[in-house]
Amino acid sequence: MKKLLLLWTALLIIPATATALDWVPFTIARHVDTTFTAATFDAAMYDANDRMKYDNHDCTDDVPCSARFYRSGTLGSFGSASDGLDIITTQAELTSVFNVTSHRIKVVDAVDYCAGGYNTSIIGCGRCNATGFILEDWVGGNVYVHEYGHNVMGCGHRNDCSNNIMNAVSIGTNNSVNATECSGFGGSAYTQLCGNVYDGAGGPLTVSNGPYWITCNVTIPVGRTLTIQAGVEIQFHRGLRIKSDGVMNADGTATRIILYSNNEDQNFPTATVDGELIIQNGGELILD
Amino acid sequence: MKSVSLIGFALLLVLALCPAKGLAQNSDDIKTQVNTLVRKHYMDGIPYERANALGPLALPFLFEILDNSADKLFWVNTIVTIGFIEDTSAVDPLIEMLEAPRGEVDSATFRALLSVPYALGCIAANGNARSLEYLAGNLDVSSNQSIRWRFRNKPTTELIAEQSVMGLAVSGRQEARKLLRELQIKTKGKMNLKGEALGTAAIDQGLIIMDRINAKGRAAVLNPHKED
Repeated sequence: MKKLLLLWTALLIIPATATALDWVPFTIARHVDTTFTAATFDAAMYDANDRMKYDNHDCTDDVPCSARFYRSGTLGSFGSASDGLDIITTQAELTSVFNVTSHRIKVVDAVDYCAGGYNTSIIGCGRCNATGFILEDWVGGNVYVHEYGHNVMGCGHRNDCSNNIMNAVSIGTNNSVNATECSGFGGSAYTQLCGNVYDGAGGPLTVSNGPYWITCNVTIPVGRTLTIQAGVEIQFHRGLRIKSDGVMNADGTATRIILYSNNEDQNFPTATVDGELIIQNGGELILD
Repeated sequence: MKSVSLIGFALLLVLALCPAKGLAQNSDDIKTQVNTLVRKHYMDGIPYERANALGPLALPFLFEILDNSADKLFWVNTIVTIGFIEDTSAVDPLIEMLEAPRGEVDSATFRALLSVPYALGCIAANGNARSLEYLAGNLDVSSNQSIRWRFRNKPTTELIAEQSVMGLAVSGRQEARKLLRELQIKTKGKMNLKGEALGTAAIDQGLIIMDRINAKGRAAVLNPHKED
């Protein structure tokens, strides 16, 4: 058996900063009267990215999505002490905060007014099909993604499954996005691969059907070939592998190499990548 | 908010003795409905119609949540739900809750306390004089000595005054409108948007909210309607 571990696969991996993930930069500012920190925001983005990456099978149309969110620049601030914009109670205050255009996200202590409605249990307010959203300082990553969804996909909610990120209710397990939402967020829905995969059964792997997400161990059976087109991008869940008992015809090129990377740690652009290919039982790996 | 447990028990006793909306419902069912409603977070706030439909038998279970500091993140939802039920038996417990804390409170408690005038305003929709008078009293910032808690460096009494304006507004009552109109005239040009005793923007906004409630109904205004 030839087992190709990290050292070998390093030849195949493009740098982590140029992975298949689609990084969405968020600029964020807090009202000066809040105590919100950059670390709190980064933790929320980690939470958001965890929710994006998996198909948890908690909604029927959930897809693993390549969109990832991160803080762009330092945490800014807006407003002045005691100007009242830390607690949004009026249309005038809402407009004032939305008019802080230097940062997409504005964090305040309380949002009581949004879109003509007054309710002290509102937790955020996002512009529809326009840039900018306002959140209370304690909310989880899914609420950031939700309000961003209003910025890029309009006012609608999707309440057909309680775990949808775009559901109007946050129940703590809002992890699901469908392919349309994933695209709206700036990412691509992964095609999931699991079990026996070969040309004619899940393969060949093409750019147009990618990127791919290895959700359980993949095997190319004896006597079968799996062709992987140049430019195809494959993400591995940690600990999983593609095992070739047959032929893996990986058609990569020097400039557009096939990506084998581990997605587990990639909630931030600087995370490391690794992956594993196992060729055994007379299997072949062909690199063109 | 430890003081509310006895109040919750008393409410349960009173409600058990007085036939009321939803009495036929099993108390376990009501408790389940309460937990199902308030232990989530609503992008557009607690839905008015669902909260209102719980009825007064839900109040003891709601006050029970307010008695548990582990549930702090749901206190705002709970207080708003109490308000949306619109039962006058909750007025005094809510006022006591607002006035009981001393010293610095945490952010979850702060948000919860800020919601009390809103809840009182919702209850005042049926004309409850006690809640209307209490909200009106909060507008006089200089003489309001009842708020003895603080959150960071925020002007607590002024914030309660502003929230009381909104409370009066969501009551939809004509007597509240009259009061807000008088205040609007009195304060126009005399106070800054913020930083002084009371912001005129809040009064203007309150009157708009009140007009919308009277024109469109409470459910249409107490939750945002982004398609408007």
